[in-house]
Amino acid sequence: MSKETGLEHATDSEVEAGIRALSDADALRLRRVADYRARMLVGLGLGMGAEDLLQEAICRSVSGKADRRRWSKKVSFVKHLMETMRSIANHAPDELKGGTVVAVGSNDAAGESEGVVLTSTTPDGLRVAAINEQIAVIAARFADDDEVGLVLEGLANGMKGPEIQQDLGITETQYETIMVRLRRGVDREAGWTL
Amino acid sequence: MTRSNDGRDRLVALMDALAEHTATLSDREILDDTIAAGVDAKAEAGRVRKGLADALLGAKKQRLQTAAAAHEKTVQALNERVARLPASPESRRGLLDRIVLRQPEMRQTVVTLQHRDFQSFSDADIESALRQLDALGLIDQDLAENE
Repeated sequence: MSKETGLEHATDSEVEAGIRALSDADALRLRRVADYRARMLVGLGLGMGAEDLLQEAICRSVSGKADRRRWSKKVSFVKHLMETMRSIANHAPDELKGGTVVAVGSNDAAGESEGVVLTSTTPDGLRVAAINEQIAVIAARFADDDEVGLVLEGLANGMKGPEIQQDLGITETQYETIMVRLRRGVDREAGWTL
Repeated sequence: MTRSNDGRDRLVALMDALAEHTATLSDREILDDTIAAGVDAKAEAGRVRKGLADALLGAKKQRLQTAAAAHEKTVQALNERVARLPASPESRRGLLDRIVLRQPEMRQTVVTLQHRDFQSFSDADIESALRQLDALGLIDQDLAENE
């Protein structure tokens, strides 16, 4: 284990062992989370698939670049990868100010490690139309489900789970049940399966 | 709280919520969902692990290539510096003499670099000392005057 700025970071070998030790459920969980995060990026006008996002998370875990996110073994490997994917998705808009972000996978002119190219910063008419259509399809899917509709409205208003629960006067369990319906409905309606 | 009617923001908020929710699911729920979607859970999980392992291997290879390229640049830079030294042993000895004459404090540096008495320097010692001083950027002026 290597030490850096007082934190203990995993070595390449430990990352490799972490991958091998992933249970089926954790591997599938990572893939599902990557799927949703990748669709966040699509919503932001960036082209990056779920597999690209997972690979990017691994590369940032071991790269020597300034944007790396080494795995601190204080957290589980799965949590580390999920946090890294969230970070990539959340910071992509900032990184894209120049128009294009080069992530992991390709070479730059100096032959240095960089990566998957994120492109398309400016929303174009077709993409905006496609996003609006997706939203319309999801809304139609839950047209008869008031509870899901209210949760969707809360999310659109920038609310998080606890706020939505408070706002709707429902318990955490009730909220989780609604979220399961929402998740399965979205997956089914949009054909977003693995 | 921010009200958003923008489809893009709605999609981002929804996907963020679904990602967060998925992260909290039990193993059983994940496996059941996968099977219900008609996906071979074991095969798909294996594919995910292989993808991650391939990405790790690729990142390591890329890092090695980057290190090799940096090493190559350093070697090339050193070779270019060597080429700046005079060709003949006599000229190199003359250059070193002029350096320590002009900068007496350099004599001790040279002796320290070669670990032996200045007067007993061989041709190889002199070339080695000049290369090291050049690499340290200590004799740029002397080399320029020598040309």
